[in-house]
Amino acid sequence: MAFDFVCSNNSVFFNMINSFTIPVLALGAILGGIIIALVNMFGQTTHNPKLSLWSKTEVVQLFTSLVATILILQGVNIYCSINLLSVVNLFTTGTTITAPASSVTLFGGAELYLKQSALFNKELLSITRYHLGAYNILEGRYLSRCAEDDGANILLCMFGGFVGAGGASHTQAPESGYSTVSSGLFLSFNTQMFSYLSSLNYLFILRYIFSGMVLFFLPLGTFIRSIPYLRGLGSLLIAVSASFLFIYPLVLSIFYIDFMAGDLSVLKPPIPQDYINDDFGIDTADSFAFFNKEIHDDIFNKGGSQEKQIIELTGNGFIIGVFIPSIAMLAAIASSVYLSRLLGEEIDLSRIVQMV
Amino acid sequence: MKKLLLFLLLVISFSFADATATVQPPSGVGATLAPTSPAWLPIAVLAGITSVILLALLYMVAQGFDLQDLKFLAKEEFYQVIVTFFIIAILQGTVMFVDSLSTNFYGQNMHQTTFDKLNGEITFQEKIFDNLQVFSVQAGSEASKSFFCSLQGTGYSISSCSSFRPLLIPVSTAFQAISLTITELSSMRTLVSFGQKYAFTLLLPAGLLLRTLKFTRGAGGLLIGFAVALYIFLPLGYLFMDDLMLSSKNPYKTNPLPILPSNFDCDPTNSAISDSSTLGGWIQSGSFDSINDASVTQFINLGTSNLVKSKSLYVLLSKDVESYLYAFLIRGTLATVISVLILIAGMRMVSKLAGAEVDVSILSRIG
Repeated sequence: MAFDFVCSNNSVFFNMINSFTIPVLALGAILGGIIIALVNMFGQTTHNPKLSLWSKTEVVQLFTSLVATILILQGVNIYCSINLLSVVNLFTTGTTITAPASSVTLFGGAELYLKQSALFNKELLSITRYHLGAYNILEGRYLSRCAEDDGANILLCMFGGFVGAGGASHTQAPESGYSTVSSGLFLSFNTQMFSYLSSLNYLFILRYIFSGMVLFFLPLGTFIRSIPYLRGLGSLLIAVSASFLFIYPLVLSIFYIDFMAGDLSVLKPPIPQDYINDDFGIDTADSFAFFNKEIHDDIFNKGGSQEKQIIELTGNGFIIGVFIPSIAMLAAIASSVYLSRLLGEEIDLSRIVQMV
Repeated sequence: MKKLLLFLLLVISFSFADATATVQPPSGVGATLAPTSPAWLPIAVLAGITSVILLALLYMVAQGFDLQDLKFLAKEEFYQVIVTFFIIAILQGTVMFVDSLSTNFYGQNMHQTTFDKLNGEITFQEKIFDNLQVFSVQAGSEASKSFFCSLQGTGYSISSCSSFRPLLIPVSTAFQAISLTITELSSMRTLVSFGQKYAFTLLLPAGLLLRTLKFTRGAGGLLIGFAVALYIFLPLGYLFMDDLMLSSKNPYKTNPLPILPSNFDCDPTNSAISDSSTLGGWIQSGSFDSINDASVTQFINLGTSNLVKSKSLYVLLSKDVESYLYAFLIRGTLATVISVLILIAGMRMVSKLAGAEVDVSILSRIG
């Protein structure tokens, strides 16, 4: 059963809302109100119109911040009430839907996307490891045998050892040519590793967001936004936390809709399961048994090697592990810029794209 | 103005009458194109109408509480929705135009054509992979041969076939190149298939809905840009590159890729290092055009020295390297890179039109 890190009844997220966010939010609003009231009183006392005007403006800003916070918390409830399975029915044409639970929220869909993306790349890594390990064994296998066409050498080879006179033989590594195939497969292995780590990276970012990033930065931003000269920072905190809470999981869950098509998924086609958890080793008996025989077919005894399929699927792994999460991140950043503008401050988040 | 708006809303509602699918059933062997998706136009229009309803609710709230700012915001967003409907109309016209062009040139729609060409290219590259693998296994096996002989504690060993070892170095590089090529082509095929199935039926409506509200307009614009670029620019870019690579003026169009020989062998007891004057002359002159493949092949198969055999193989590989480089670097890698750049450029342009001011060039770096 998929664990929903945000929408479950006893989730850390909702516990934190009730035990931390709302009290701190109230405290921030009260403190902000007290500061505004004090400044207004000081302005009235000293007949300073600037201070009075500032305090009146800040009351409106404080109210805006509180409304924004309430809207954000309501947005979380809406996200938790949308079931992705009902959306999927618009886009599947008679296919079986594969979902880990009877309902998948938008937050759950985002997390499942990244988990399944990481799992996909991990399985690819396992199959590639098997192939690379097999080629490593094959490359190192040497055969020694007597010459076929040289009478003196044959005699020395066959009988020299018995009489202690010496020996002669040909030595050959019949499968050493697979080392070149290994070099190509290593490249795919590196790409898969990069895709795997990228999926995990984006998953950790998502977990960090779900663990309460918004619940910490939101009240902090509300309070800071009411302080003179710090409105930009407060707007930034509110914009970034809200965008990363809503837009980033939303875009990921949109792409998760394709994953729910199961074997008919376009982005995540089924991986051949033949060599995922296999191991193969050669002992002495095997070596003699396969003396004059290709052992390549015995190592890849489930329909042959699968280098070409692995290399093709590496492309899929890259798309789902790197490309699509990057688009989700860019969408969140684009939304942050607009939200911060709405809250009264222009920010340039182009540098955060470097992280992508 | 109000009558015009009412008229537009009525016209839009008739778009539900359009229920024609825009793709043909998949064909061909190997990987298949995604199944026929629901028509995108009703879904996109439905998304637009949902946006109108949301804005109408917002306007009603503003009217009820006499919030002038909110009224102004709702009106401004409503004009944006009208612009969005124009964008949908233009997209529909563009898609129909491009599909009709593609049908005239290739006999089927744009996505199926691109998908079939990508499948064909991947199959072509995998044949090269198989050919290289057979050659590599044989060359590696021969290169590893050695001979030893000892008598009464005295002996020698010799690797007479080590001249075959340098052949493996370019083959190893070729495997790295072809591995990248197949990965890139497969990624592109995935994007084309995803674009055909989901770009206009999922990403575009989601983008339209997000574009409705001001603070999500950036994300909405990005999704719209991605959907349009994925559906239109990416397949068009690849079709253009494919035509360019395989045009009638291209010297590599009709030349089949040479098959590397796999029936050579090495005698580990033959340590002669003599050379053939004819082959030596060829190598010294560097004029590979005058080399006759049959003549070179005889040096491989006849009982000449191991050195001559390996040199002959190297001469053959050198002759064919242009064709292989073209296959890996131009047909496989450059075509996909240019297509991805077209995708990113299109995405940036359409996103900007739709209101997203975000630097998408980072995606081209990933590509």
